[in-house]
Amino acid sequence: MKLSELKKHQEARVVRVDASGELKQRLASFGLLRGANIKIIDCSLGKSTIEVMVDNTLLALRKEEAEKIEVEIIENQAYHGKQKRVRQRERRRLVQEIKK
Amino acid sequence: MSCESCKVEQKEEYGVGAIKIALAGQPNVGKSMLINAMSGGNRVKVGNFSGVTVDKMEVCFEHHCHLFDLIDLPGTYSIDGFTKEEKVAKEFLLNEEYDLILNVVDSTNLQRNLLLTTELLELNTKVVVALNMIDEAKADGITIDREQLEKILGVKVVMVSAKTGEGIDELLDTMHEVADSPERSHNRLIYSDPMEEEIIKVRKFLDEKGFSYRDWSNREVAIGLLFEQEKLYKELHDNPIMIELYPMIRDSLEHIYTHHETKNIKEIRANEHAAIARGIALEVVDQKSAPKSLTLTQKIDSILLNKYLGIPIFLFFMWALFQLTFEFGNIPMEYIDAAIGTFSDFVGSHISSDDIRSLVVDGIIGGVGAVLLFLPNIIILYIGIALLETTGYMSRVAFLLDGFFHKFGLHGKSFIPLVTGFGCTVPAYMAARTLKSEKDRLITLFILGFMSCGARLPIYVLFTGAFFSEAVSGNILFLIYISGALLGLVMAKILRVFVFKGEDEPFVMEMPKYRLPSFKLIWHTVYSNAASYLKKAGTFILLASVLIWFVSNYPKNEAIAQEYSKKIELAKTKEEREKLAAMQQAKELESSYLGQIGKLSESFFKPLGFDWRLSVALESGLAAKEVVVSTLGVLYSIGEVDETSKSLKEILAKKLNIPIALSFIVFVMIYLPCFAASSVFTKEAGGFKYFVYLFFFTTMTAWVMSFLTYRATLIFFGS
Ligand SMILES: Nc1nc2c(ncn2[C@@H]2O[C@H](COP(=O)(O)OP(=O)(O)OP(=O)(O)O)[C@@H](O)[C@H]2O)c(=O)[nH]1
Ligand SMILES: [Mg+2]
Repeated sequence: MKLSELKKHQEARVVRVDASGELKQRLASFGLLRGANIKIIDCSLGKSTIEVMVDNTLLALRKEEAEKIEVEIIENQAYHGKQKRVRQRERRRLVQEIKK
Repeated sequence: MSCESCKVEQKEEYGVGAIKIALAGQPNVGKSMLINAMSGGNRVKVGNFSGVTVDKMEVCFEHHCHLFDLIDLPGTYSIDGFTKEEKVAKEFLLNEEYDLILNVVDSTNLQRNLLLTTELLELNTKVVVALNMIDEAKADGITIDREQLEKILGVKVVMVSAKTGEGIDELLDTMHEVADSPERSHNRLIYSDPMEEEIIKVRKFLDEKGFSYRDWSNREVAIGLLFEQEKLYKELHDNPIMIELYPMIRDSLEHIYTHHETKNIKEIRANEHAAIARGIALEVVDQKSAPKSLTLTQKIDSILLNKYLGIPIFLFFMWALFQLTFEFGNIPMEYIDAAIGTFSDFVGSHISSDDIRSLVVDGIIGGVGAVLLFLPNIIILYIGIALLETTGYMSRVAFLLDGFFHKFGLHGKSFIPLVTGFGCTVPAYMAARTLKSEKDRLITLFILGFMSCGARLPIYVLFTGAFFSEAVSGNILFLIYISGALLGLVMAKILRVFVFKGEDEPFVMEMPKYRLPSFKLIWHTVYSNAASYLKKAGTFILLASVLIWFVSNYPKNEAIAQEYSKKIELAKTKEEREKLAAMQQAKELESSYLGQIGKLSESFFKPLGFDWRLSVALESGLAAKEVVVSTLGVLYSIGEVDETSKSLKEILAKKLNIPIALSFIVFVMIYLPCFAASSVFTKEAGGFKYFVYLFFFTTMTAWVMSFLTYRATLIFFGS
């Protein structure tokens, strides 16, 4: 579903950004790219301007931009500690590999 | 800044040069505030929104007998920034010489900030990371594992707070140490598996060839090649190794393309960096619950950004500001006025020469005094602007107004330079750099003058005070500013439709967290603006007043003097004598240099209801808007012989009427900004021809609007 269709305060994850090169790059530099957590905080009359929270960043977007962002609703977050351990193991493996 | 000079002095003293440090970081992370904290001054501007710093700025100071030369750069979300001010940062980081980069990072939003950090690390220069706002992170219950972060990034990390001063000394010492060490730690970032595979392949090849480039490791060269770093390719272009490298890199890239499902290397790089940043944040940041400050911000936003209430609340704030500006500003004004009057009488009675007395009393005190009177109003206005800038509300208004602005062909972000313009037009022209599209920027530049700057405030206060009752003056003031802004919007639309046609620019803007502004910050902004107003009054306005006095008193016309002295002798009653004396002064003024100049342009201004004095005041306002008031002060105090009505306000109320006053206000509101602002405009717009356009654009609009105002109000109020 599109970001513009999301309800207020619904937690979602970005699946795809269907923007052209430059806008896509700009959104990415704000941290808005595939895999980011996103939710709508507020919007103006007629949803023409939207305030979203991307991870820990508050961003203002227009409806036109929000329509280009494909999201999926997250039901339950993966357990944080587990993610962390997986990540650490991964990194150690890579460090070893590079040293070789 | 006399950095060059202090460097030379210090060099002799300590025998070492300054450490040159570039501050890079995303917008609004506290780079400027950190510089102030490190240098122990208040030299660079701080505000709570993205795009406060729009130009590089050098600050030099000494710490532990060592000289630091810091360069504050505009914030940039990514090195490949799009806006004009982000390019300033890019230019500097890529092309200038410096000893190290201090990457300032917002600890409460580490993950996103790391997107830039990773890019900076790929520049392969010395980097130190400052985890700023550590006070806020602590309050939010965020803990960061510093050692782990240092290990992953391979650079020194220091926790600091520009607000509380925590960690500042440690940061300075660390930077000193890193700058002095002969070794640079190499890039240790770990990319995705397919990327790593290719990096290792290219690196191995480079190793086998015994290749080396500058102080880069071959791994760093491989990363640079794969990410298509332009500068690297330019320098290696003639190197024979490239013949073998090209096919190899082409193969590697194909592999990377298939993995990332895109051929856009910039996008690939962004994805790689995002993955790294996410991984690092996962590993080093511990956050028990949702950060308090963010939750609070969301709560406040649900009121201030409310669908229905948001805009009315904003309008109320603005209205309240102008009420306060007028009401509170007028209290001290009366005392200042009385003090200046007494001072002027005292000085006048101690000077025997008529000419000198007139110069001092009418010229200097009349001119400078008229400007000083409005200091309280200016201070209140600046407090309002400082609050808007430091609380975080500024970006909210840009958000609220974007829909509305959009209809007029403007970008929501234009609001930031427009508000800055209520203070002073010069920094406002610079602030327009944050607009990405060149057309948006030009439109904003053209209409910025319609946002009345602080220096025009005295003119409005003077005229509304003279012609309207105290109860409505604040409202009139509010109306003046609002109608200036509305006119600006209409003009923007016209420019957009007829001149700067073009695509709509997407609106993506960061909303900062709300922050309680510190008293120090507000005080500094207000103090420095008030000080510069006073300084201007004591120098520039003083000179202008003397000049105006001179050209309005010379050449002395003997014929008029003789004619009237005879008539006055013959006059029977006291009234008649006074009337004749007044006529004499008026005649003399008219025959002065200034009178002659005023006469030249009189026909241009006549249809608007202005006599030559008002015309001259407007023309002198081209130098600086404060001069309009000082010129009126000089001109009307010379022509004044009736000793009972002393204040300029009362004289104006007697000599002019409401239609003329309104017409004058409208003209002042619209016509060309002062000389300093015009030259900045010319520079920012990119050529003298734009200044010519601006001149005709504003003058014509001002004339037409004043004419309409004058004619319409004449019908309404009568003459
Ligand atoms: N609590 C806290 N607030 C800070 C700290 N450092 C900066 N701030 C606030 O953060 C905001 C941004 O500060 P600036 O120094 O203007 O940020 P900047 O990085 O120079 O921003 P740009 O010039 O727009 O790139 C201001 O409101 C500061 O008061 C800190 O260490 N702690
Ligand atoms: Mg700054």
